[in-house]
Amino acid sequence: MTALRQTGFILLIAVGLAGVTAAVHPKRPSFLGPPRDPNEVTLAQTKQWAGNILWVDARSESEFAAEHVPDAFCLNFDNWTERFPKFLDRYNPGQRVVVYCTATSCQLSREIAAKLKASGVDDAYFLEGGWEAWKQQNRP
Amino acid sequence: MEATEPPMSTLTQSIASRPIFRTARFLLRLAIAALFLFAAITKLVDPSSFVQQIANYQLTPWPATALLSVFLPALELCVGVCLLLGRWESGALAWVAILLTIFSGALLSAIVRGLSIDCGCFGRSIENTGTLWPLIRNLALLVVTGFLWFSRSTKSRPAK
Amino acid sequence: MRLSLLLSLFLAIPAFAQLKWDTMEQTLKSKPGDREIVATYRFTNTGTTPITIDNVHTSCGCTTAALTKNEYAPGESGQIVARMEIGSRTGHQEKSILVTTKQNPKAPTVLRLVADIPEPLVMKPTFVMWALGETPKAKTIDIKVTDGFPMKLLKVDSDNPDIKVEVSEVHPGVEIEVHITPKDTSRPEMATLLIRTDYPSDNPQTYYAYAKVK
Repeated sequence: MTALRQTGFILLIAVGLAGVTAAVHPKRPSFLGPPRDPNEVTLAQTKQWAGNILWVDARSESEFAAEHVPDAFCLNFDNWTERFPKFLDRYNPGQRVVVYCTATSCQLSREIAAKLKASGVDDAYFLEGGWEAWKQQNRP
Repeated sequence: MEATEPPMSTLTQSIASRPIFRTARFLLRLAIAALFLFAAITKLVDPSSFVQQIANYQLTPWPATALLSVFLPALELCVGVCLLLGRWESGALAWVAILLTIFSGALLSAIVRGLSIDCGCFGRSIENTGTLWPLIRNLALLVVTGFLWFSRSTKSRPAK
Repeated sequence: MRLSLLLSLFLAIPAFAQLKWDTMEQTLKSKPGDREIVATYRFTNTGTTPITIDNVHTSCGCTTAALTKNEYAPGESGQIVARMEIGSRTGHQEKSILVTTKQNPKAPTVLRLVADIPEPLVMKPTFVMWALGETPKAKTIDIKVTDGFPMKLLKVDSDNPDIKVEVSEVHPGVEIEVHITPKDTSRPEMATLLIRTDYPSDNPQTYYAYAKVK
């Protein structure tokens, strides 16, 4: 059997094995899309909520000072102790809190949203794409 | 030896038939088999976490990523078994070379793009030490694969 | 441009040998009450030419890295002191420090600081709120010391006499329920609850919860 035929046969067997795995493996991946964190929201979803959102900026205070979502509240791991009581001044139960940081690669928004949730803010989410996504959608 | 095969030089022949050489070759083949079997089994145990690892390279759209997460380990398993049993060695070695090249390409692309787990605060010009070592390892394996390929015994050399 | 960067990365690998680091990754644990985690990274110039460290960059604003000087003669040693501010961070934290030299600008060294920040107690929730006019019924905050942590909860006080606290012990010193009741909800009120503990003994920590009528 030629080398080419051998590679072909191996390929066929691999495809068969892969097919069986995809069909019956209890831990098979979803083919529809990547698993979504239930606390992550897209910019589109926030547009639907409009009006009842309290935006939280998880970046540093200097980044916040430079530019931020209008009316956003700066809350990060460095200023949490001083800022959390002031956050409570702004927050009303029933409001949706959406946390953002720089971009998708940044994990701070996810972590601050989790800390808010653990603190008792039931509707705390983090924004997919972060500040960069918001900037892109909200600039002419 | 087939007439269409390039004849091995007498020097190569004499080296290839020495017992030490044959043992070394046998062990290297088993080593690669073990490597691929281990890789395959660890991935086949939980494809849903392997799919996330492929996704991290940001090279493929999701449906392809999901398919690869089952297909790649399956291929690794077949190749590992073939090398272990010493059957279809040419085909298996060809797939080893292809797989190693693909993995190395992905690692290289990750290095060049500076994919990092932090907030991207370093910019894109830094090598992630987690991807350099596997790349070097893969290149070394390619060399071993090349050696195994070119030193195949006449029995496992397929007729054209 | 990227290809030349990659090639210089590979070619620069032997040049890495010039600055030899005692350790490039450190894992440190902190105590409650610590404000920062400090890690020192010592290095020696094992090459035959002087090295100039011209940039030390950290992956997070919370981490600073300091050098006493920039030029190191062959054979000379130095150190980078990294300070990571703990803030309200907990659990596993990983920060990177990028060290760039003038001689090898395209091949920086990545130092890693791995921090293990304990969370001594868990408060659920950390605040309670009443709307104006809402019935001033008691609301509860559950406080539990993390398993095995050598901390005892001592007492809970409210800094506002119009919002009272009453503590019931589920497990004395370890798990308590704080029942908070406002005198009335006719006007906005705010109280900070001080949860006093005995740990660490040289700097016993006080934790805060909040009660608001708004």
